Amino acid sequence: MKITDPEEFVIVSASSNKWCGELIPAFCSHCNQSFFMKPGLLDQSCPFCFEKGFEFHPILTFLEKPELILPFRINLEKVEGIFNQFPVNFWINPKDLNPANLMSRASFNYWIMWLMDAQVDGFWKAEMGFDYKVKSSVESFRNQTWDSIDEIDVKTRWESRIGEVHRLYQNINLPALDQHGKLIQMIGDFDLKYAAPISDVDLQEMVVAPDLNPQKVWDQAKAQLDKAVENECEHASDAQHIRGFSISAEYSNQNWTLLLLPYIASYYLNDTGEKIPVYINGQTGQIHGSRFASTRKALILAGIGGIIAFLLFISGILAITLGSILPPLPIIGVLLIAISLITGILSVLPIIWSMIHNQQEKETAIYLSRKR
Amino acid sequence: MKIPENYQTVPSNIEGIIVYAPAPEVPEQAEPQTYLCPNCGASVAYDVTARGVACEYCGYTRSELGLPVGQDAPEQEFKLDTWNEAEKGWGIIRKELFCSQCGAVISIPDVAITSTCPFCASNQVNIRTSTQADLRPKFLMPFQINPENAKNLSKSWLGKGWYHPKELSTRAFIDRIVGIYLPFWTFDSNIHASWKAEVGYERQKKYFDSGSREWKTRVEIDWRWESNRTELSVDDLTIIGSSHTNKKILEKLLPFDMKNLVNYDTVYLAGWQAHSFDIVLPDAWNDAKNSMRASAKEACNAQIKSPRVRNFSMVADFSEEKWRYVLLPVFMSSYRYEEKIYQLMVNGISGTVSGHKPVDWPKVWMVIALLFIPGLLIGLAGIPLTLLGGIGVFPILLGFSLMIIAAVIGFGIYQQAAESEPES
Repeated sequence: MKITDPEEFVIVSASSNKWCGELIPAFCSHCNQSFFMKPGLLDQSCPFCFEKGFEFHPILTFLEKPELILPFRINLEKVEGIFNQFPVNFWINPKDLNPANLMSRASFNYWIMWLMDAQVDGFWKAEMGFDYKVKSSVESFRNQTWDSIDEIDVKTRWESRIGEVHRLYQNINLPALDQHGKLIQMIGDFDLKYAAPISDVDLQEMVVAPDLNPQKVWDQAKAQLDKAVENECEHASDAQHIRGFSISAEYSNQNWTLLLLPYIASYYLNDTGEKIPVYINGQTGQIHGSRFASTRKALILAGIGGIIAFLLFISGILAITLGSILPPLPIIGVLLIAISLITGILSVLPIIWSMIHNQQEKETAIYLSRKR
Repeated sequence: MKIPENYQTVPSNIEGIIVYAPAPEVPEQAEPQTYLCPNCGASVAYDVTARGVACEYCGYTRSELGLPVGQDAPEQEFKLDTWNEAEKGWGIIRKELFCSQCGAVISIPDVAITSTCPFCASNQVNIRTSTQADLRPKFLMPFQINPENAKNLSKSWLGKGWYHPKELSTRAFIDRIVGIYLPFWTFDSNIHASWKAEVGYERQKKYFDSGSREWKTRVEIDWRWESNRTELSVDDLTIIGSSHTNKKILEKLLPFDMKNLVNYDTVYLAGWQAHSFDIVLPDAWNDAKNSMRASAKEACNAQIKSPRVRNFSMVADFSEEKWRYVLLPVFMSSYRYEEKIYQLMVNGISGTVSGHKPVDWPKVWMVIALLFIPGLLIGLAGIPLTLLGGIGVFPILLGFSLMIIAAVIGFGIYQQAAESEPES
């Protein structure tokens, strides 16, 4: 598509919508994230905040419909297998964290991104590094004779190069959602060579509506184009290294296309009832989700351990007191007190472990919903 | 953006990307050049006094020569491609030169870089070109002594030394003195050497001699394994690049002070002879490496505090090896004395003279014989004293010692004298 006025998003209403046939605009009343979906999906949970509360409503987004789609390459059966392999059965996992719950809450959705083509015409300048081999040697003297072992070192010679570029660069990947980076960080990259025209697909899944227009991602697009030119200039010069690359160019004939990326969202509840998201790449099956420990389970375990320790301690005191009646009892008493102390110390461990584990998980946890 | 003038297009691996690189410094002088006087059209030559080209007919001079680069003259690494090319030598060898002035075809020696046309007397330089740019001369040391001075220095050198004929400087006829730029390789390297050896230390030990029934001392050696490391930096080790000269004479002209190096310019060669190398880089490097190995071994041995060493082994790791190909100025000449021809050479910078000289052997033998006389006389005096009683042993021993010293000195004199004569 040719961008005529890339700065403007428009209000897309159900009546003005031309998005993929029957998809109509909706937004989540909890997290305000906009989507396109079929009317039948209104009672579904939002794949961002996992709350129910979709409303059909005009949304501010890009009017043009996507042109390409990466179809799901994993089905329900495969998703079940992935959840089964997700390590949820650790010793103080929350009760809600199990494959069955994750499976029952899984929703299939489409993420969205930009693909851009542009003609680059301009001048560039860089220092190119050319590897060359240098002969050296190690001489050894033994038994009154010299031996020589040749060694080859690789060094780099830097030379100045300037040049012109007149090339069309296609399919530059750019985000159409400001949380694109987060999603890719969690579930990895997609292989775009499987992209197909969207006209052949009847979409049953929710599609996240774009919130970044080409104008907003232009700096990123330019940086990627420049990087592509830099890599090609290095290759064109037959160099092995490049540094100090600069370019002065015009970027014409821009063509921006929206592409849909498949992903699956699910969640589990932690002790406090908070919904913790788990995401799967709909193409590769890569899964990501934080696994918080149950502090409640940890407290129960600590309590049981504490009670056992207390009982052992009392028994030990009793045994020592009754030592005058039965001489071996004080020895048993001392042993019981020692065991009670060890048990007491060990009983605190679940609490400490869960605290440390949860802190680590918090530091690496990624959420797509903005309402956090 | 404007493409600078000194840039040119180079092949690109990708369509739509044009690559410009700085134009390589192709020596325009790679083709033979002829130096003629712009005033009178006669041949001009490099003149030591004028420090430029000069015409001996009309007095025209031009001295627009560059500043010396000295030891800052860039050195080359042992690049594998240069090395492989260097093993082949010069590649194309031209044995015939077409004189662009008079059209004559002149036959020139394989190693010559310059020539004077015998028909029109035009001075031509840069006759030979190497297929590898790295192996073309890039630096040279211009003559600082003119042929007349060189001749005077040679004459004065001929008058030196007591074991040569007294009338050598007056009767020797110096035929022709020719200034020639000879090829040399210079080498640099850093050497990290580590050694290991058993080192013996003397120790006095007391023991009881049951035969004499008394305590005595004897020397015992304690052998200990020792190891250490040292670093060595070799700078501008000079190796001759021509096999057509007398290596022994030429080596005595070394060293050349590298601070006199200038960028190669054909002007310096005008009217002078110049030869390219025929000892290829790998062979010259082997010679240099042998010398560096010896220096490294010497440096390791210097760390050992005892003269008793066994099972010595060492490893010398060479790094930053670099080389330069330079042309250095030498006057070559020969002189005739009593129907025999002797070679001599003069360092074109320092004026050091080296060469062969005839030896006045009767004079040498007489001096050696005189050396033996004191010892012989003292020894002979000891014989009657011994017969008369007791003290004659001392003069005999003294005489014998003096004769040994005389033999050592005499052998040294003989060696020196023999070396100064050409090998038969």
